[in-house]
Amino acid sequence: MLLLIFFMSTTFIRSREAFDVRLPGVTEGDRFRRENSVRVWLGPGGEVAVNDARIPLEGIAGLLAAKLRENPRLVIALHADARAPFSSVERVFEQLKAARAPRVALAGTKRGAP
Amino acid sequence: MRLLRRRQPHPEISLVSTADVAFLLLIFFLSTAVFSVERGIVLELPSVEDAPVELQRDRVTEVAILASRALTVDGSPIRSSDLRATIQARLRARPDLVVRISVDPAAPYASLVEALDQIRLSGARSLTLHSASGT
Repeated sequence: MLLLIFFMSTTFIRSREAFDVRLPGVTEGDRFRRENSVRVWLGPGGEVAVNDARIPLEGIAGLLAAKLRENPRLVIALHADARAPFSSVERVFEQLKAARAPRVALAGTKRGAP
Repeated sequence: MRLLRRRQPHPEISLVSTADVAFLLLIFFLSTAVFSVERGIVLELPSVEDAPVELQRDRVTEVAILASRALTVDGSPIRSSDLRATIQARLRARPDLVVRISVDPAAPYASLVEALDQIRLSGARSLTLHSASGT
């Protein structure tokens, strides 16, 4: 029963994502809470989604700027595919800069230290 | 004459079914839930109002990530496993070191995160990120 209460209070139901991404590995990384973040997804082919809804790349800045006005301490969590070329990532960064995002988290999965 | 007293059964709630439901709920949460804490590299971005900062050349070390995922530090090829120690050595000589990361547009994102991870572990706190295409 205690386990049940623990899981009910500390977990989120896994939602359907716009597309699958393979996140890069990080040795330790920082931890951030999902409820304080907006998730920006970038697929290997340059496709983009915000909070699991696909949007055109040019729409990211306006959408994030509106969310940052509501909560200026919002963290933008970039869930980019490990295989995505840097040119795609750079275009997303340009949008984040235009939205005046103060904090960006490059999301990853834990891997062992080299 | 003695009257027979009928024994009233004690009312009780069967806890067996409650335990079954709790167990099923536990299995459901274990299989469908994800933790609300995520992991990643958090970067504080400069404000657009911040004035550009001029840096002395000897305060900057350049890490270049090539399209092949190969790394160079100030032009010298280096293995990714040696990046952390190299930056640490430079930080000892210059604690206010700024690491300039230059990335080839065709380099995979994983190579950037891997390099950022090692640079962060080295203790460097000031970074700049550029595309090798010059943008």
